[in-house]
Amino acid sequence: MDSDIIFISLGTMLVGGIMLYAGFSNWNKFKKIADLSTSKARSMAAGLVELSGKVLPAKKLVSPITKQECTYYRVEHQIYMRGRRGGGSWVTTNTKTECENFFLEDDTGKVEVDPKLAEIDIPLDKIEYNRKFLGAKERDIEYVLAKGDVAYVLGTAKNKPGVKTAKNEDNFIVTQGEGDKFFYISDKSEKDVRSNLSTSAYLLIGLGALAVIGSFAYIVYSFFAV
Amino acid sequence: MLLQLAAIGIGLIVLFALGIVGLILVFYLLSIYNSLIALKNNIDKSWSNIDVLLVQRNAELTKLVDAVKGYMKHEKTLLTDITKLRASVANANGPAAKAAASDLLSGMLGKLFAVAENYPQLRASENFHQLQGRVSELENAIADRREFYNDSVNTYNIRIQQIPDTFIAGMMKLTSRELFKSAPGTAEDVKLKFE
Repeated sequence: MDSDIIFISLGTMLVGGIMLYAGFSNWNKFKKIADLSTSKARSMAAGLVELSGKVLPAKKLVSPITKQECTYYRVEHQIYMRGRRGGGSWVTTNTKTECENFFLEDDTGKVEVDPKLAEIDIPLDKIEYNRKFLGAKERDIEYVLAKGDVAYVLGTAKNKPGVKTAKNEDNFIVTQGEGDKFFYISDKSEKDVRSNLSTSAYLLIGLGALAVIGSFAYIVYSFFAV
Repeated sequence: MLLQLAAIGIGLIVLFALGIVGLILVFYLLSIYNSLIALKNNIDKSWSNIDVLLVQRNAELTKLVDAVKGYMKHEKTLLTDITKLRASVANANGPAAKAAASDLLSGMLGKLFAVAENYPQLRASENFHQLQGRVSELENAIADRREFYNDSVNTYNIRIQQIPDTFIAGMMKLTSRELFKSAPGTAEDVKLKFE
């Protein structure tokens, strides 16, 4: 029995298991989003809420590359690593993230969101190939949730401590819940978020199952072939 | 011997593959079960959230009627109707009956605010303006939460009738829920009781 091949098979099985877990996790997120109706800012109640509206930063924050006024940015510094057999891939060596609270405004009012613990799902805004150090290729990738973007938020509305007025705008802040930790922010529409999550869940579960079954089959085959 | 070994090998692989497929199937069924429970709880929660506002509106209406009755001596019937409808909303059972009573009360409130325009002294009252603003805010919030509740009920009612969810919903004895909407004839019933 070739021990290298067995190790590769066990590795593939592990990766397949991780893919299955990620697929199940995405499916749960998809279900949670599909099951919850969208609330209005002026009338939402405490607890798990789904909101959609325009992003209005509560404090000034400017993204470093595109210089946009925003509420969240992430910059990944990547270098190009050449492979042994030619080709290569970009590897992230450093990540810088900054975020500030923002207001989400819909047609009925606005509500404060604290995005610190959120899973933020936004597409990249800009890739900047900025310099070459000793011949190495380097680049920066920027993701921005900018002022005026229409965002989708699913999180837990909590009462602000010590505040009790008739207005939701003053009363509530949307953040991560204690019981339900799911806190998701995206600049895609709810329909796109759902479609992306369900597609990735199907793919991950399908490929994960294939990887696990395939690698198990290979181990059994190698064992009996000896 | 070789054939037997090959058969054992194939048997193991098939068993393992069936195990994985079974695991995925169990996960899928559990996710349907959990999702139906979540939908059912969402409806109960959103119904409580409407009820809280209806109670708040009733409390504000008592203050509003007290505040205006000194000025609107010629509108005794209208004020009595509002008081009676307020009680109808509180006593109505189920979403459809409550929605019918609530709709009639909202109509009466619109009438009250329109009539109030004929009383300059009332219009000048700070207390009346505050109460009018508060009641209007509550009316808007009730309308939003009603939309949310009806969305939740609609999603739930569709899901418990769809395959494969309907099989699990059947085992859980889940039945369709009522929308917060006056069903045909309900408004007339409330009117008759009220008259």
